[in-house]
Amino acid sequence: MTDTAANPLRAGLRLERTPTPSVLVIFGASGDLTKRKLLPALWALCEDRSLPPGFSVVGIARTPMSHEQFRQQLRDTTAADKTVDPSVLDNFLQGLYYHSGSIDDPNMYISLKALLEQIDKERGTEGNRAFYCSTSPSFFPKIVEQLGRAGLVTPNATGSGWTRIVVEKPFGRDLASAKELNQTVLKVFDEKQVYRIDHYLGKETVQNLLVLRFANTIWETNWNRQYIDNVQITVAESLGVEQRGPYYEEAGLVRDMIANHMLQLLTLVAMEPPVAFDADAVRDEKVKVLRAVRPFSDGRLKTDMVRGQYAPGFIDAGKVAGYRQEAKVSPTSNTESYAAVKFFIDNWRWEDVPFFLRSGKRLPKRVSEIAIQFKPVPHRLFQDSTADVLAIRIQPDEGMTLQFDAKVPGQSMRERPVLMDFRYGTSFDVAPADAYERLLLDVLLGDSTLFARRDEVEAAWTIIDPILRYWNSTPAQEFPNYDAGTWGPDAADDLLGGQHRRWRRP
Amino acid sequence: MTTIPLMELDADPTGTLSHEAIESMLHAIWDDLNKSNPTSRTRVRTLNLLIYVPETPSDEVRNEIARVALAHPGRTITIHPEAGPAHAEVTVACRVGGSAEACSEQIMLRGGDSDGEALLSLALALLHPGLPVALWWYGPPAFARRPFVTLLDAADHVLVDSRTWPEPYAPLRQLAEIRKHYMGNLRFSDLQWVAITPWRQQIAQAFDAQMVHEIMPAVNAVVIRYNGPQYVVGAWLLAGWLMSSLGWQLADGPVLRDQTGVTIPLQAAGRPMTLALRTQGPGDGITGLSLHPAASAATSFSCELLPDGVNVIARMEVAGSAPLERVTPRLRLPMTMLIGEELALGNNDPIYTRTLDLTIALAEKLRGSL
Repeated sequence: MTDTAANPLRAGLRLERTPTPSVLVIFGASGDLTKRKLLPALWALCEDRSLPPGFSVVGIARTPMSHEQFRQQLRDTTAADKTVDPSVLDNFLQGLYYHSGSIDDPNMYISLKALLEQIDKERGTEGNRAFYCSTSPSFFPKIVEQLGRAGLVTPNATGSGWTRIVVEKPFGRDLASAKELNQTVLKVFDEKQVYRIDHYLGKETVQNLLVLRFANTIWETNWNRQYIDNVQITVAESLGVEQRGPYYEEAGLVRDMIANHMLQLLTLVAMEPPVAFDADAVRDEKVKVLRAVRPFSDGRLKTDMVRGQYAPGFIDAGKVAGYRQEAKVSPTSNTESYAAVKFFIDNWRWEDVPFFLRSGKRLPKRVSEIAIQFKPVPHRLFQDSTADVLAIRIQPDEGMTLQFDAKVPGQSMRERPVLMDFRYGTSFDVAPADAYERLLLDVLLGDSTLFARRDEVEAAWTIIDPILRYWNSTPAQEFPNYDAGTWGPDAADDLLGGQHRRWRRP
Repeated sequence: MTTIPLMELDADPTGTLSHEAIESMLHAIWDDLNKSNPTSRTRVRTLNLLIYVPETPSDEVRNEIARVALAHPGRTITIHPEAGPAHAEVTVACRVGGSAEACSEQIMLRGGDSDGEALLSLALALLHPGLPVALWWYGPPAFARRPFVTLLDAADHVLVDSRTWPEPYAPLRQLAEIRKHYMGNLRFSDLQWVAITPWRQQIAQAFDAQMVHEIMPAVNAVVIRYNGPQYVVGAWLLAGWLMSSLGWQLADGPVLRDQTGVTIPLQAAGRPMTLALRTQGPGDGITGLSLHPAASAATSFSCELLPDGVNVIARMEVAGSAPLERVTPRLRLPMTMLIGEELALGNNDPIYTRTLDLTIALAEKLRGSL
């Protein structure tokens, strides 16, 4: 990362952070993620002038392709965009290289090393390299081992001649495999060089959670078991499994959403203030939350979670198939496409406050939201008073809403819930950057605050493993149990317990 | 953007125009809005923006003010003194953002008298309590005149634009005096400083590269190119920024003038060097900067506006390697962004403050050589 001691001209420049000249090596460069997300995000960073001179990309995949064909991918992506300046694009494309080869082949890494040395010489990248594993997770260990063997990993995480590695989720499929993957990676890389990417953490509103909580005093006094009745975190998708049937059949919703994205959100809501806004301080606090999550006893495995699978139904007035009718999905599949789980965090702040996490496919709309449901007043002076809610909208239409009671004008004393709204689009008039832009830039800058650390990943799997084991051993008899286009199985309502609690309709 | 139809109010025969009457008009507008669409429009209050427009505002100026007001919603009070009785125009403008419209109040005060004295009392009474006050002085400065001084007392932040100054020396000196008077209790911004920020970024980013950073001890000449007399303060600010950041100082010795500009003696750690300000290059504004090391040095750096006028090329050359080039779009920040950048910064910009000190010293040296 650049600092003002090394470069006094950066002092006071409050706009873009820029990494040192470097190369991003993408394994899986012919894949969908590279085309849809990584290259467009890099191009957006270039247009935003956030990339350094000499910045280069090396794409690696088995598919034979020339440098020019690889560059053409980005040309195609940007072709329809009339705002693209051809001179800027051409200059960026000059830094794109393609290296064809098999991930298993040691010779590929030797020739890669030669190419990187050539780029260092020609483009001043000074041996700074980030390797991005955008392949199937089964290839991660091979890539890591071969990089180590080929001498492509320097011990530096920062400074000149640094090496970093980016690993896409899933980080294992259970605790044992996550530990194994971590051990493999950490034989070659130091933890400080490892960036486990969960794109949810790159979203503006997710980061704003930290600002909301730790840059304002008004919440802190209320942010605890004394005032909060429950927390509801919803990540709903209206899409089905689309073309990802085989992956989904293996993963299921809990692995796909709850084990990573949603537990990350939970930690940000529940964590204590970190001593500083730096990678280790923030992640230390997140890990403490995960370690304080109450383990699932046998009894709670039966009562504190609900799984579901969608039947045919309607989305946006259009008929859609049920999960078992989707392409490449077993007609007797036992995979969950919906889950709602009640968590407790056993610590001073949160004892006995339930955190309800629910996520599903083929729900009525795509929406992610965290709702902090405050307790009702201890003694009701007014008949109609309702509990206050702070709803934090992560997507779409990022922002937050505070719902509280106000008197209805008139002679009688009647109340009604009213809303105070904050919307990113309204207040800032700026479209938030794509999560990958932020996270790729952080990798190049060496800022791992928004990435998962080893102990964080393993602590998350420690929580999730019993759920997976239990569901695996007790196939759901009632599947499918909710219609596409509804908010999930009825049993999810019972999960909330207590008459005053209802799922918030996001 | 939605603009609610304008409501107007004139002073009564005694010349009085009550701020309460203006507030009542705003209330009436909000009442109508709430009745017609209560949920989707939000009255946003983030700041008071006072705008002083000494000349009769053209449609272009009015549109620019409206855009700024919409981008920074709150209460915008535009003061345009002219002959005739005081007159107020009030409107609420909304822009769509997300699912709701963010609405801000815009008040235009005209007439009063040519000094604007009458309008000032009205403007000060109309400020939202508790919200910061930014004063945007539109057009050439009148730093010594009363309206400016009166408004300074109400303001937390003053924005001027040196690109509108008919000549640069006197305003710079006055600005220095005013800053000294307020002793850091009032924030000053020059929109030209914000306008050159993309150049500063380009140059600073290039200096992240070790090869460029290493040439600094060998640099003995700096050339800054610009076009257009209104951008001369921008060129001085860029020079002042380099000087303050890199420890360069003005040196004794004559300023040399020729048809393309001036050359000023500097010194860096006892080493003599020169700063040249040249009026050349495509387009207007800052058009380029180059660092020239001593003849024996192997590396050089330049950052130039391309002939197309829309892109900038940063070029680094190291002996034995191909030149490294980065082409990026030239950022020309519109007025809404220039002001937005400054409003977003809560405190004084210390880099601007120290740059301004050197810029004033540079201007004094240049004035002395005239």
